[in-house]
Amino acid sequence: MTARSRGSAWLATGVLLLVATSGCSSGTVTHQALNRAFGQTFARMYALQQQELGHVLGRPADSAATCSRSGSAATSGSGAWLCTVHFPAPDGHLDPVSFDVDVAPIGCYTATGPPAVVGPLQLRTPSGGTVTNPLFAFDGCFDPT
Amino acid sequence: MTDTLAVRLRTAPARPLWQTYQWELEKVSAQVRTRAAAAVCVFGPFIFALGLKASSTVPADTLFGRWVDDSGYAVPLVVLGFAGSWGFPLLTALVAGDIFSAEDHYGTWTAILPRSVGRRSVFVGKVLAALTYAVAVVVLLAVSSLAAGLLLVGPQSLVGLSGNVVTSGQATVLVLASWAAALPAVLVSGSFAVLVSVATRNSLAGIVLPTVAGLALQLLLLVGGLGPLQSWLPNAGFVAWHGLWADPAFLRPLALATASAVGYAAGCLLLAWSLFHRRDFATA
Repeated sequence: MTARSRGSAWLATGVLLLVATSGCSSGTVTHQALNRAFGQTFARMYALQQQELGHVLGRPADSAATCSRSGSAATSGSGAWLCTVHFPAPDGHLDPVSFDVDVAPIGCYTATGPPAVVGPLQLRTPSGGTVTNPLFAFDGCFDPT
Repeated sequence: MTDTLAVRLRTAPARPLWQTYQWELEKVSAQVRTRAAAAVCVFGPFIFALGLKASSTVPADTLFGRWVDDSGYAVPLVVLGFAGSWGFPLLTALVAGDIFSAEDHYGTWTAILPRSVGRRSVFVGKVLAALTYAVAVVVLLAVSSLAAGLLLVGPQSLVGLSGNVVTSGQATVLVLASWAAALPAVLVSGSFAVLVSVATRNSLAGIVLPTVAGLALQLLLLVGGLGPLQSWLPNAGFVAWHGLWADPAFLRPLALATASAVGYAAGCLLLAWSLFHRRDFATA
């Protein structure tokens, strides 16, 4: 086998492998994936915020979220989304609150909440320090493949 | 420098590949641009972290940018985000895009090639030296940016990419793993720059073309619209580490990016070799 034909054989094997494995990846941002990823991240961020404010977490936030494309009937794709979660109000009942969620094709998103509900960018901790409010705006990533 | 190389090449070395690799490494590390790049990799992250401390805003448009004041582990990840988008292609091409064409520029092929080491050893030695430099750039930047974060901000726990809290010990491991995950894509950048350097025989093209290609690929990666091909882009490895920071972690993008990077790098190097070993340097 000459060096050249050996090279071609390697190249052909690589291309074959590529074709064989690319068949099983869908490569889109779907509302199911975003619902799951955003809901879970929101619930954890809420718990983190309550902990930083020194509140005893009464009931964990519901990790169910409903995401839809903003101004479009599509149920998949990157771009602007709106995700609605059940936000535990101080009096105990659950309020539906919507986050603007900007999703990149690589499966990462930036969520921005309404400041009236989630609070300002910086939070005062009970000990007098300031911390970044986890819910003001947050990033998350999920598997887009 | 090339005179001494030619003299040393006259005495047939016992291990020609090892010899050419060492000579090429010596040549690379003697260059001003290599030392300048090393200085940027070592001191750049510290200057960046000091700038962040002095600034009242945070780089919130980069992943982990919101947390740079809260945890030192965010610093190396923000640096990795920047380096992946435009730093790595330029830094690797500085050496890899010049390593073959410099011999054209100085007209030194006729001094190197007729010697006893053989054309294959010269090729492999040069490629290995260029890729060694590329790996060194990644290691220096990783260690320096982690040190900058820990020394200037501190080892606080970091919020991951699914709201998960990553403790200090885990975060060190994940930061290093994230940088390691970018290595295959860096080697693709280096291999492509080697190919351009061999094909164009021009160092300016060898440095500029891979940098521009890197930027164009970054745009493709961020704009999307490629569907399933998205995760097969040569630079997908620059963002595939994100999955390490979610809980549960997802590693499929990383596996796809690494597998395709091996293919791209091998393709570039095979093409470079097929051009190089058939080229007639005597009449050039």
